[in-house]
Amino acid sequence: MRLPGLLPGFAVALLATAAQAHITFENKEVVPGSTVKLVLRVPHGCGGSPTTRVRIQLPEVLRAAKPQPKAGWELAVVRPDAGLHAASTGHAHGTSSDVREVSWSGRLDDAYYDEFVVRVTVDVKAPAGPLYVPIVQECETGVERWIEVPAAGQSSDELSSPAPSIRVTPRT
Amino acid sequence: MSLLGRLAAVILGLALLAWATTGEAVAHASLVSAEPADGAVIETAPSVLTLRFNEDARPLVARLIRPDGRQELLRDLRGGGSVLTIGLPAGLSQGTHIVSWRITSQDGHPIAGASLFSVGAETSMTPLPASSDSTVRAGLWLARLFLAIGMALGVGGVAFAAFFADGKPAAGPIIGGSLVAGLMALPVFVGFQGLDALGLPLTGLLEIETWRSGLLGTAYGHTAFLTAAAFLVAGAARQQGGRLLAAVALLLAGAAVAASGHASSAAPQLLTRPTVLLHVVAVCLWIGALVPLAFSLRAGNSGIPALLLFSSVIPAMLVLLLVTGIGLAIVQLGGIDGLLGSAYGRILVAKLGLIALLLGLAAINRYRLTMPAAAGEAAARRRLVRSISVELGLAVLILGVVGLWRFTPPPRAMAAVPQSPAQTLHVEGNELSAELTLKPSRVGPVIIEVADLRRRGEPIRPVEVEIELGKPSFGIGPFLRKAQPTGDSRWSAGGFVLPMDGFWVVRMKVLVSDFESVTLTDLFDVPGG
Repeated sequence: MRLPGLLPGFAVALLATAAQAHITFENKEVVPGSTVKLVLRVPHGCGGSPTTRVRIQLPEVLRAAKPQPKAGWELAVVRPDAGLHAASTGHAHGTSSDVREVSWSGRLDDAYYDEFVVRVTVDVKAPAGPLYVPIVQECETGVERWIEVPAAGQSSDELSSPAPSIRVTPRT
Repeated sequence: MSLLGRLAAVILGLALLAWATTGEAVAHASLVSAEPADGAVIETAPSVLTLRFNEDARPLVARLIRPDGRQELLRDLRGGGSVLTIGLPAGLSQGTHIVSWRITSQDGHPIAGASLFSVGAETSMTPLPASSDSTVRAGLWLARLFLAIGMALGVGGVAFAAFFADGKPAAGPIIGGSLVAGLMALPVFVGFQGLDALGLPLTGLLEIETWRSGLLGTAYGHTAFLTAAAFLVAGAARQQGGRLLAAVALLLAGAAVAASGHASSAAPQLLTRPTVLLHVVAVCLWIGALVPLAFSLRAGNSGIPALLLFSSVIPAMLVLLLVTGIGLAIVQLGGIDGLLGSAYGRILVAKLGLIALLLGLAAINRYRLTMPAAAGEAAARRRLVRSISVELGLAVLILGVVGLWRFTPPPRAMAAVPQSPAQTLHVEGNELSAELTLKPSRVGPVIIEVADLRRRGEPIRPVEVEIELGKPSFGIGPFLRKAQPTGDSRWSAGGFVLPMDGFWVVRMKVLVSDFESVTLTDLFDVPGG
């Protein structure tokens, strides 16, 4: 017996929706070895409260991170203690260890929208597939942690606070 | 493929879909504040409950559970933008009330939650009475009986025609009529299941929430889908013939019964569910043969070959029936003392008595009447037809008696109550393991304790632990509480009030570091008071 074509249609309609209130990246796809400007979009505060701090934890495959400072916001970076990491792209620009965590502290009203930019180089050996970047959004009252990663077989749509993701696609 | 077959495929597809989408509440909107606040104790009864969300929300349904356990749907729901106002009935008594609500956020995802507040003083809740409305229970029993008749006479009759009578239908109208009656009883079954689940009277059938609960909220919804598929496939088998379709219909009928009920949910489910399936298949094959046999024998000698074939197969089927039945009864009773001491046991004794009568009759048919009838003796044939008719009557009586089990808990479920004042689960997953304890393991105010929290075998000190308790199938909760640290790797979350027994879904969200959280999910089976 053939399953009727209705079934995939129903499934798509019920399970897939546009998640407009989440923190997401403007970038959809990146290529290993390339240098990209990652743009993080913050459309909301935490339950109505203004955002006071945005923290990004960059995964290992995103190297040589350089965050863009924002007027009115205080920028801080965290580097793990370590020896030299050889930049896999072959362009060594002087940083002795990669930035792992970036944070901007300031104030963004819930009614307003803003973007936070960090320039990264994607490691040539980055595996293809979705790359999850956990974000912590601190507000005047409360904290939103965009850190949930879907398990095998799950989709980000089912999570309440999914970590924003970008897709690593090999150069074709 | 025939129309009926295609229809059956669509129903199965919808069943799979319903299975996949039940239960989960994806929180795209989230609650910012509630007035009265969650867990508050206030002097005078409030007239409204105000919920504030972080984005526009549309109210779907809200339910009030009073301190004495009575539930009612709240109809005065006013939503404007991101603020939802729920009107509470006047004259709320002293004690702890729960308002369970469900909204849709802007992107269409439903989210559910619950608010707890106490008027005057906090009270523990008395457990909900089992569906107090006797009309609902009677309707449920009747609908279930018709479903059983549809399965036994309809699907079983089709199977008999396919396997024993070379597809030549005798008593065709009765078999078809049974299938149709079963199909018509299905919506009644679903509606009344919903009424029973929500504890509503007959007027609750007008609420969409009742149907949602009956169809998607409980395991009986799965039973309904599978039964519909079984009936439709049997109908297709009738039109097209073929043993494959008849066999599929039989298996679907067995799976439908195995999908719900006390017998299938006993541990170990890997054994009990297939046992129930085999039991039902054997029952359908046996009872389904009775009507066509009686009809074909009454008409003349044409039914003899089928009769002989059936007689040679029936002993094996009866052995299967008895073995599976005894196995299930042992698991359910947990001992001979349960036999007369519980309502469940008394129904079982009645069923066994009727089965003994039935088997006696069947033995007479098989050993005293079959051969003479096969030889052509008209008198023997007539006696055989009468005897088969009595068998049929007994069988329907047994189906009716079995339907009463729906309203009695088996002794194994009741045995759990006095023994355990607390219930501990060992939960594991995502490199995390912990011991979750529900204290006390009964209806009313409870706390959840987390102990021995380990990651990859090593004890950890998480930043935060949150516990969520909910009963999605009944639309209650989820209640979310932050756990407080109470020692080395020990956390405790209190302030939960369980208004009902049964299965409660517990989700523990452990914030391992600022950027990493792990969620573990498990089930507590809270025994009824």
